[in-house]
Amino acid sequence: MRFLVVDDSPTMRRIVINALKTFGYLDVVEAGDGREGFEKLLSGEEVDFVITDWNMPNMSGLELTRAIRSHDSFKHLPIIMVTTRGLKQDIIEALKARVNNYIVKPFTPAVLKEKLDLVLGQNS
Amino acid sequence: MDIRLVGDRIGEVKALFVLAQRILPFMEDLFKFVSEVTPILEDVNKEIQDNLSKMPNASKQLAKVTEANEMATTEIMDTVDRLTNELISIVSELDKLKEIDRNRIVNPINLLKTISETISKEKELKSFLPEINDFIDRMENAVTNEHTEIIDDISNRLSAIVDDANTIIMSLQVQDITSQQLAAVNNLIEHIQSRLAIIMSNLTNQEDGKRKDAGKTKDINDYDEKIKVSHLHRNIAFDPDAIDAIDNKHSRQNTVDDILKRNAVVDNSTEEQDTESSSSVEGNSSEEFTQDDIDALFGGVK
Repeated sequence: MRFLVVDDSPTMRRIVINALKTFGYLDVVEAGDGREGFEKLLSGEEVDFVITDWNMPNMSGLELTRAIRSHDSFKHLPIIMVTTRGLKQDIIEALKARVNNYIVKPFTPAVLKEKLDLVLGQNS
Repeated sequence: MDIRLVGDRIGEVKALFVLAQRILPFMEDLFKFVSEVTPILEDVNKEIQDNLSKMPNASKQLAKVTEANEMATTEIMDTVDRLTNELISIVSELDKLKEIDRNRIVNPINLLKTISETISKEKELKSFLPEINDFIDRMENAVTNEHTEIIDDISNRLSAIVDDANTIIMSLQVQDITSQQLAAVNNLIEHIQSRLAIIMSNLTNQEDGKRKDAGKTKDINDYDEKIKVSHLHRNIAFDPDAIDAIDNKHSRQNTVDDILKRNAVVDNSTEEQDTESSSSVEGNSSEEFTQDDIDALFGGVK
C-alpha cells in the first residue's frame, strides 16, 4: 500500500511517515502542499491512500480533497485529514468535501492506526 | 433706510461682540492646549515611526526563532531515528544470538542425550550415567532459563526504549503547532505595521494639504475566507487558534473513547457522508469539536 502524505510542515510529514513505518507501511510519497500533492497524482504517481493537512499555502487540504473527489481517476482514494482545526464548521466543511476521516493534532499513533484501520475496513 | 432695521443690525453686532468676549477666554485656553499638545503629538508621531522601523526586525526575529525551532526539531528527530535504528539492530542481533545459542548448546545436548541412551544399554558404562544426566540437566536449564531470560529481558528493555523514542517523535508535533502560532503573531505584526504605515502616510499628506489614501491593505476581517499564510523562514500556513489544540489535547482524547463507545452504528459509505452527516451537526458553527465529536460524525467504531 502506497501513501501520499501532504503537509507544509516537514516535521509533521516526518511524524506521520514515522508512525506509518511503525505500522508496517513503508511505501510513502510526500508533498509540501496540496498543489504538489495533486500534481504528483496527475503525473501518474501510484497512490492508495492520502493523509493530508488542512492549512497549507498554494492549495489547502480541503481544496486538495475537492480536487481528488472531482477527478475520475482518484475520486475513490481514501483521505484522512490531519489538522489543528477543531471547530464544528471545519468538520462540516471537511465532511462536505468527503474526507473519509478526520484527526485533530496533536494525535497519538494509536489514533492514527485506529482511523487507518477504520477507513481501510470501509474501503475493503 | 429703515431706522428700525439699522437698530436690529446694531443689536446683532453688539450680540456678536458679547459672544466674542465670552468665547475669548475659551479660545485662549484652546490655543494654549494646542500649543501644549503639539510636542506630545510630535512625540507620538516619532514613537509610531520608531515602532514602524522596529516591526520588520520583530518579524525577522520571529522568523529566526521559528527556523531555529524547526532545525532543532529536525536534529532531535535525526538523533532519535539513529537511536531507534540502532536499538532495532540490537534487538535483531539478540534474536540471532538466541538462535546461535540454540544451535551451539541444544545440538550438543541432543548428542549427549543420544550417548546417554546408548550408555544406558551398556552395563559397564552405566556408572557414568548420573554425571552425564546431571550435565544435561544443567545445560538444558542454562539455555532454557537463565540465558534466554537475560536475552528476553534485554529485548524487552530495548523495545521499551524504542517506544519511548517514538513517543519523543510524536511529542514534536508541538513544533508544528508553535510554528503556526508564531506565524499568526507575525501576520498580526505585519497587519499592524501596514495599518500604522497608512496612518503615518495620511498624517504626512495632511500636513502637506493633500490628504489621500495611502495604498490599500487587507482588512483583518477579509482574512477569514482563505487559508492564512505568513512568510517566516518559509511560507507557513497557520490556524490562528492552533495553540488551543495543545491546551485541550488530553480532554479531546478522553472524550473520544466515550463517544466511540456510544456510536456503534456506522454509515460506512463515503459517498453518503456528504450533506446528511453535515446537516445533523448544524448549530453553533464556531463551537470547538473534540476528537470524540469528530469520531461520532465519521461513524467511528473501535
